[in-house]
Amino acid sequence: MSSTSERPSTYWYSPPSDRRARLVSQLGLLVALGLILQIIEGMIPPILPLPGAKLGLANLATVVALILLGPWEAITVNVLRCLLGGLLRGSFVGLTISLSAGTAATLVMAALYMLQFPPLSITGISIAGAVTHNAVQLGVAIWLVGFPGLRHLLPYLLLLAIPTGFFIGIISQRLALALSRTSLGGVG
Amino acid sequence: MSAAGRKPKRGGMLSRWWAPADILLVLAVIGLSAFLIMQSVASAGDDFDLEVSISVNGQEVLVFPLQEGRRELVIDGFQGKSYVEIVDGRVHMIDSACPDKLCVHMGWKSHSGESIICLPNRVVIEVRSREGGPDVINQ
Repeated sequence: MSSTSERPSTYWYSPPSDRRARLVSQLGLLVALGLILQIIEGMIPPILPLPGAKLGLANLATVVALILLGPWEAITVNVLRCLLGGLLRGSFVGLTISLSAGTAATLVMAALYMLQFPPLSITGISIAGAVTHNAVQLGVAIWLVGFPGLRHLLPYLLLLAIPTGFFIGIISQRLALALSRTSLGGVG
Repeated sequence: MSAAGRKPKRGGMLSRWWAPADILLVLAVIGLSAFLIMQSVASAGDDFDLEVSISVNGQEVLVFPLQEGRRELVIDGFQGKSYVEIVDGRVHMIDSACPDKLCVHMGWKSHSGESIICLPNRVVIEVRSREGGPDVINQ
């Protein structure tokens, strides 16, 4: 038992029903993490004069879910976080934009992660996700608001996705590495 | 069991924070953005004979020459009034009925292809050459 408590994620044995409960609690923790990060991000005043320019802190939960649990779990975390976050903010347009852009970004990241081609690191996958997110976000905003003038912002939002994706990628790689050594990490 | 089986497979991915392919991805994104910026600047023409076009909700409502005199415009937007000033061949947003004031912080614009956008009020201010921008060609 003493060796089990040292490296639980490697030597953990649990019966199937317990495993399901474990997955539910892991998903719940990651969704809660995403919601908290989204609220914290809402408190930061916008730095750049660009509509839609955000750090995307809440996507940290999605990337960590992708690494620790897998692609379907990442999509689940993303959809739940967007729905609950949209309810918290109370904006239908915001909910539609974040849900569609977040899901598109998660699908791209999951595909790159599973295929491992091109051989990107977590940082690269996160940058690809951020670029997808910003492009889809702008497209949905143009379609939903009926506001074609927004297309001028596309190159700037794409450029901005590089530092934000890099930042989120590095942090989630560190976070997933640390979590994978605890009982929270890994598929039980 | 599955955790132990999965770890070595993705272990290499977790232990390092960058890969050579990342740089190619970043370069590709920078290249695409540079292409899009150059294209929008090129299609907008040169900085010789400029005009300011103001649209609300995708429809052009006002067009003024940029270089002549000083003008203050009040635009009825989606949420309230936007105040625009054209002076000395430059245009800026003085104030707008939006919560974040991002458009006010966009500052002065004087070159062809530049724009100020207030998303909550759905107001777009575009600087373009007077022969007509890409929108006219498309029509």
